[in-house]
Amino acid sequence: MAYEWQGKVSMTADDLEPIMETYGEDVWNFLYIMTRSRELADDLAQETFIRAYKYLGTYRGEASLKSWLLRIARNRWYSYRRLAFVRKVTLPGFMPETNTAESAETEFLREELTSEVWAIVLKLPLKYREILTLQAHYAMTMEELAGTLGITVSAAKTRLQRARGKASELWEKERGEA
Amino acid sequence: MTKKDIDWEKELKPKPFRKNSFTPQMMRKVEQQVKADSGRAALLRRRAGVLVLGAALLAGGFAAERSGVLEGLRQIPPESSVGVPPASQPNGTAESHTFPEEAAQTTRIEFPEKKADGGTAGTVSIPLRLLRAELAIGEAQTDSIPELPDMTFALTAKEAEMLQAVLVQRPDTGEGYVLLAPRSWTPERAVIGANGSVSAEFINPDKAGNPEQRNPGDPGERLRYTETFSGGSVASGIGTYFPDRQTWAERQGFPVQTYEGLALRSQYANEDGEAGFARYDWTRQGDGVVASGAVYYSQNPQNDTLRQLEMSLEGTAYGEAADSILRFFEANQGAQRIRPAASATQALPQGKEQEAAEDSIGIEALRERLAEKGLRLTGLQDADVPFYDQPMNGVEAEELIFDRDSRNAERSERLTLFDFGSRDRAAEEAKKFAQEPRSAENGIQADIYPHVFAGGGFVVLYWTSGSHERPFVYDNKINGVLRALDQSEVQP
Repeated sequence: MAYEWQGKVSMTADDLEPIMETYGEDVWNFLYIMTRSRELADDLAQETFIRAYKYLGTYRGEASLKSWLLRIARNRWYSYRRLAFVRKVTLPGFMPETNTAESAETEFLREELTSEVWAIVLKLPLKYREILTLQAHYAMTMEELAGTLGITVSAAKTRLQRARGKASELWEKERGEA
Repeated sequence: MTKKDIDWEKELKPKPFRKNSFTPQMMRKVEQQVKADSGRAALLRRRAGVLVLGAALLAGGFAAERSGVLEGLRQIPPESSVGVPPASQPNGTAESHTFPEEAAQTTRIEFPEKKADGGTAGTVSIPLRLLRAELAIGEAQTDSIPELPDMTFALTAKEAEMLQAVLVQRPDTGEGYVLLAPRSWTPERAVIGANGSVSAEFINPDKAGNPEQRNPGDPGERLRYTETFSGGSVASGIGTYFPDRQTWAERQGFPVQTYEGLALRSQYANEDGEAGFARYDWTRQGDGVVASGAVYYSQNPQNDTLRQLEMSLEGTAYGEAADSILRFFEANQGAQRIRPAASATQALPQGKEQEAAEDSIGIEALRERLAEKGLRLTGLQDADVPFYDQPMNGVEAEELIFDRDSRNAERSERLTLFDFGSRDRAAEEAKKFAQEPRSAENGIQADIYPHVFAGGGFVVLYWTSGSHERPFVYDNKINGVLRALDQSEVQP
């Protein structure tokens, strides 16, 4: 897909709109799967596009625009995690980790989740739900996965295999309990 | 659907959520933000012209410094070495770097002899053992043994019969630490931690106990010495052993330990509370004293330090020795620290770097020096968003990624560099950053940590990844390079 900004020396804020319309949902969904918090997904998705605007000059078209945005989104989340401990101490109550927040998330998932399989993915440890989502839903290649996660291709393959195994185990367990 | 049947690619192809949660309102906010940022960027570009002029003026000043005009203002470092006693005589050996470990029992060190009236006359000698510390990270830089000074702490003849001295050698810096221990006890292990912390342990071989357990349980008879510089550990220790600082420590967010039966024997601090000493006994009903210990702390803009020595005891056999050992600790505010031998400081990674450092100051110089140590660093690429993307007290960061092997590049291993141009300022900022508690958050084990170093006017955050499944791989060369910069006296 070609955008009007492509070929320009620099893009304007208006050029960002079609990109957000196309990829906003993908970015938000990915961030929710990573953070399991709507509030964080809202904030980080907006930050992702602000970052994308700022760094679009460095986008070389080596990866698809969607993959590039997902990498930025992922970096935003990891950056947030690293700095969150500071906020947690200096701004008590900053983290939306209350029972009310948890029940709101549960309610959201009950109403919005499209399948039980996604519920399984959301229960996986971060590194497994991340790779499984990027590969199975966002169709990233092994090379793209390796680049996005900062690991080797063989490490990505191993991690993906483990993620599938863990997800299958969890699926079996939940089915057994049902 | 069974375990074998699940086709994850097929199952996860549909969208996870029914509705689109990235709303038009969010899009408007993004657009407003980038428009506002664009306005600020234009303003900054206009200001950049002024900054270029400022930089030119600074460069002129730097040229004056290099030309020697400012030489008279440069601080001259003091002599680093102390007198070396001759070989096979008390207090070490002239061939200090060949100090033989097997000679531990025959090498002796002299102390002034304390007489019954409290005065001193003559000397007493006690065995001197060597304990080489292990490095938790990095490689040994020197095996040189520090040169021992004349000891000034006085021992009675009776005390001398009960005690031995142990010289702990740091293979990263060549520095040493002298501790006293009961004569028959065995130096077990000394470790230099990733952040420079020091620990040394000695056991009574007849009552080794279980080292994994602290009292109650079976600690056996052992002596533990620790030095820590971590802001959190220092605050926690201060809160634990200085009750009037308990509230302060808890306010910093660090837990204070409570040990039932812990009784302070003495405690004092200077007027501003920046340094203090406490001595304690830990008693258990029916068993009497089960541990005797002492703690010293200091807090200043350069660093926080907490030193502690604790002896776990069974019975009273080593009560007198413990008293002498703890008084030696009190007199030295910890172990007696010994500066590295001159030969060791030359061996440390500063020779070539010092020469280069005289010529240049700045991040590029630091980068070159790291490259000399085999650390290849590249700038951020494509969508590599900075890990620490905010100024540190007004100083902008430059972030570099380790490029160890293009096939195995871990883009999470990075350095964030801040050039403060002043070692005091850098040390102060590093301290502030290090004091922030960092731990797993929300029960999720964080997998990338920043380790903070200061040296030569720089603050460097070293980001390295790991987890309980995959251990941290830590490269300490960065630490060595920064230390060398500190010793080269190049920063204004």
